[in-house]
Amino acid sequence: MIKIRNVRKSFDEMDAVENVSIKVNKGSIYGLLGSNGAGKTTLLKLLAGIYAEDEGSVAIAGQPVFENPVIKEKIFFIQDHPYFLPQYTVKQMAQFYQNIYSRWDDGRFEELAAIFEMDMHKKIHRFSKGFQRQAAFILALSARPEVLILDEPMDGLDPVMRKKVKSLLIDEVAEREMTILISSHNLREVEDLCDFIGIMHKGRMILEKDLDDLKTDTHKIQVAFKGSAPAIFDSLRILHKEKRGSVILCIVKGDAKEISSYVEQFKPVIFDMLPLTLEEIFIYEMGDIGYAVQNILG
Amino acid sequence: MKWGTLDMQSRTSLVKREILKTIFRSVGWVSIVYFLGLFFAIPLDIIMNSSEEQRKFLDIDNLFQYNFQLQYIFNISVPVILSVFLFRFTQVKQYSDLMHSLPVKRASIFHQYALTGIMLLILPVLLIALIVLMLYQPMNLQEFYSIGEIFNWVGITLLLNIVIYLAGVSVGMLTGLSAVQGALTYIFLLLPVGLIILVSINLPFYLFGYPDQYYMASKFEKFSPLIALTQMNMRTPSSAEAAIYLFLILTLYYLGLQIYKRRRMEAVSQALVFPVTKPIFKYSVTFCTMLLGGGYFGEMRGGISWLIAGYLFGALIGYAAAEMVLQKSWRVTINMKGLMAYTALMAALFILFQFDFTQYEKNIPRGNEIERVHFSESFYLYSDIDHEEPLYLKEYENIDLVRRFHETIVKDENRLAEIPGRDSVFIVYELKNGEKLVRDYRINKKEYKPFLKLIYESDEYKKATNEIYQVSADATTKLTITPNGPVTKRAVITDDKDLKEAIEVLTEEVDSASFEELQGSDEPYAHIEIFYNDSNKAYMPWYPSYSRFEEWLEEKSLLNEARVNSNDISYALAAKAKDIDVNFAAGYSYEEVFEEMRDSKSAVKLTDKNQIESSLKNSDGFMDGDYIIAFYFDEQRTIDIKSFTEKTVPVFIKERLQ
Ligand SMILES: Nc1ncnc2c1ncn2[C@@H]1O[C@H](COP(=O)(O)OP(=O)(O)OP(=O)(O)O)[C@@H](O)[C@H]1O
Ligand SMILES: [Mg+2]
Repeated sequence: MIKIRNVRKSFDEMDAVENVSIKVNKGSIYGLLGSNGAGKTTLLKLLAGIYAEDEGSVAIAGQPVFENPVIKEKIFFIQDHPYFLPQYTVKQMAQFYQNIYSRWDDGRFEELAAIFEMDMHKKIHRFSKGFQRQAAFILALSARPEVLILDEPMDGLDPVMRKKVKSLLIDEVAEREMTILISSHNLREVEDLCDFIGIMHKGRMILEKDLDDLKTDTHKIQVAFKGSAPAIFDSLRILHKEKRGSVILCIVKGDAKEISSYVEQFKPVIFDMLPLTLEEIFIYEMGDIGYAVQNILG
Repeated sequence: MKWGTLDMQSRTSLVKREILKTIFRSVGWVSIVYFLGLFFAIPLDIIMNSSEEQRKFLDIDNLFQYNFQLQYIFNISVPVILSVFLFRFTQVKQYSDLMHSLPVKRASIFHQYALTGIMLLILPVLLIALIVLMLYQPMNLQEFYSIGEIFNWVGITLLLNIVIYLAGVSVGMLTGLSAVQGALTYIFLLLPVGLIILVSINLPFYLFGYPDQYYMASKFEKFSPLIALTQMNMRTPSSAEAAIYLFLILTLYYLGLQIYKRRRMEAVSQALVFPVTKPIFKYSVTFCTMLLGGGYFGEMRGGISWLIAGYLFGALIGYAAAEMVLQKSWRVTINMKGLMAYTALMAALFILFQFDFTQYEKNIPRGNEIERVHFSESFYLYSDIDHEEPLYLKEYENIDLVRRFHETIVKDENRLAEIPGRDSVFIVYELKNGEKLVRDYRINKKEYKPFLKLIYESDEYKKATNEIYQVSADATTKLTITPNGPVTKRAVITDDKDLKEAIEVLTEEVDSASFEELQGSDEPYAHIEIFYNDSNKAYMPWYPSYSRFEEWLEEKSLLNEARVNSNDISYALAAKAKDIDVNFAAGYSYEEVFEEMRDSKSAVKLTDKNQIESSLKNSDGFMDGDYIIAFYFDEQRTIDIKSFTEKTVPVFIKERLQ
């Protein structure tokens, strides 16, 4: 659905996004992670057709986005600080978008407004930050986009609202295969939502992962042997290894069953296989570039 | 077809109803304010001044003349305010992101905004015109102007407003800050005129004889809609001008669109959006302030070092200010390389001009190339005469005199450029090939007296500069002689024979008047007005040297009425100037000085008629003499103060003041 290839965007000689490529399939949720100034917002604005790319290509459904109303009709972008036309009420904004986005669904709008108990006749700029964000979600979802671009969407929402929004998004994806691109500073905030994540640092994409794969692929094992340890580790894909007394602790990649049957051969005194949090996986997986990712995981 | 139905027919229709709505919501008020302003200025004024009594005093022959200042203020501010508020969405980051993430092409956004803006300017003007049309019959406005004037007003107002508005729009596309948009728009609109002025005040420093006033006044108002608008109550622009404005409208619209399409949205909130415009802006500002600084310091005539100091000072201020705007900070970093290149270029230009590389200064047309020549002491004598043709000399000898005088001045360039004189010489050669050569010099007349005397005493010059030559004695109906002083009496001649004689005598006086007399260093006795051919009036001063005229008046027993004499004065007070505080510059009135003299012991009182008469004759009007004398005029109880020098002071005063 979304195909970004070798994109570069610079501001006054400074590259904000450099040689980034992303592919997002229809119906999946892609999390874009990175510390402040990593280039997330820039990349999202390129995708929303606000900025023109300096190099490379940004395409949705096979067509370039910039200055292409047919494609932009199918996209909805919520800014990091939601913004509305000056002095508009939610209702007026809805009328505005209805006129602009042909796939606008008024029934859906009424429905969502009811769910969020939104006051439709109050000027939006008088709302609190969280309510403004809710209003943005309602409007965005009512436009029925095929691609929803969210820049740090959870910012300013209370935990109850977060849950509500997340489940709405997931429903929407499941129901009509909407594609979502979501940016965040914080992995935890989006880990339960995303299928894919990409980590940006200083304008570059340093890591892209399928989260389901990651979770089923990476394991923490604790083993202890009588006497010295046999050379079993040479044939395992070890990300990390440390010794605590006679217990060896390591992070191993691979299929869980294969690993355990392999280790059992050596008759360990202790053998435990523990699940890993996503956070731990990243820390071990990333090694050198880990420093860049600390923030996101913190 | 309604917009709505159009909307439904095509998915990506050109006009989005909601976009128009948001435009009206955000800038509709500008249109309303404009309407109200114009309503106060015109229809309300018409209604308020509708009584017979008021109409008598109305002097109006077009719509601009109703509260012109108010209209002017609205006409130059509303379009710019409109362009700024209308395109707010290009200057606020989040607003810009919102608008540009919508599935609408930029061209479409531009057309919808820019055209709706034009509509918002047109509507109030049309409404006002409609109201005036409705008032036209009931208010009997045909007494003042034709219906056509209403359409004229609509046309001119709209043309100029739209030019200003589109200038604002185009400039707005270049910048990412609303304040800069507003300021740059006015700078842009004034730029052509400003440059002419700046260059004109600087060129005289390089081109000896460059007539700066001539170029500055040469209809430059047409180059700026802001200035052209100041005259719309007095003149109607030609159709050529209207065509130029129309062309400007189309060009500016197209430019605005093209710039907008190429605009990088990330540059919102930067002073200038396009990197290439930054150095252009920076060095243009530097250049202009440099010229301004040079012009200002140069005017003070401190010589070349002051001129250069002015340039440096102006350039530095301009450069720093431009950088501050661009970097949006008081503390700026300076690009030395650019500044050096600029300085080198300017120095080269400066040196080049020192060599008169265009041969401007030495260019004097040959005698046989010249059709006629204007020669006067000021540019204003050439331009400001109400609808009258300025003086021209056509006789070959006189043309040649002017040429030779000109040559002499050019030879004296080095001396004159260093210490320019106080008097001005303004020369316009009109050549046979249709070209003009205009020069303006500052000299001291005294140094060139031989030339001036020959020119001024020539028949042709006298005929051209003295109105009396235009009077035909037969058609003259009246001649009045109004004394120069605080009296109400005057001499009036209406008898045909007397009129003929008077005109004859006066013509002879002027014929034989010398350069010195015509220069009018003596205060005239009286001012003469000659009424002829029904409504024509010729004017001339009566100088004390015109003694034949005095005799003639004496013969006709008109002398007493024709000038101030001792009969008008009951007494006079005289004193040494140093004994009395006569500093008029410090705000002393005649009355105060008179009081002081009356109370002072060092002043003497004259009551003898002969002494007063003699004092009157010998004193002169400048207050810088060694003795001062105050005359008391009975009739209106007024005071006139004059002075004597050591030479002119009468003995009877001098003795009494010993
Ligand atoms: N309009 C702009 N003009 C100039 N530089 C910009 C602009 N927008 C962003 N940048 C620069 O580009 C880099 C990337 O910025 P971007 O906003 O994309 O980061 P981000 O990952 O969204 O950061 P954050 O987490 O703080 O939102 C930063 O160094 C920023 O200073
Ligand atoms: Mg961001």
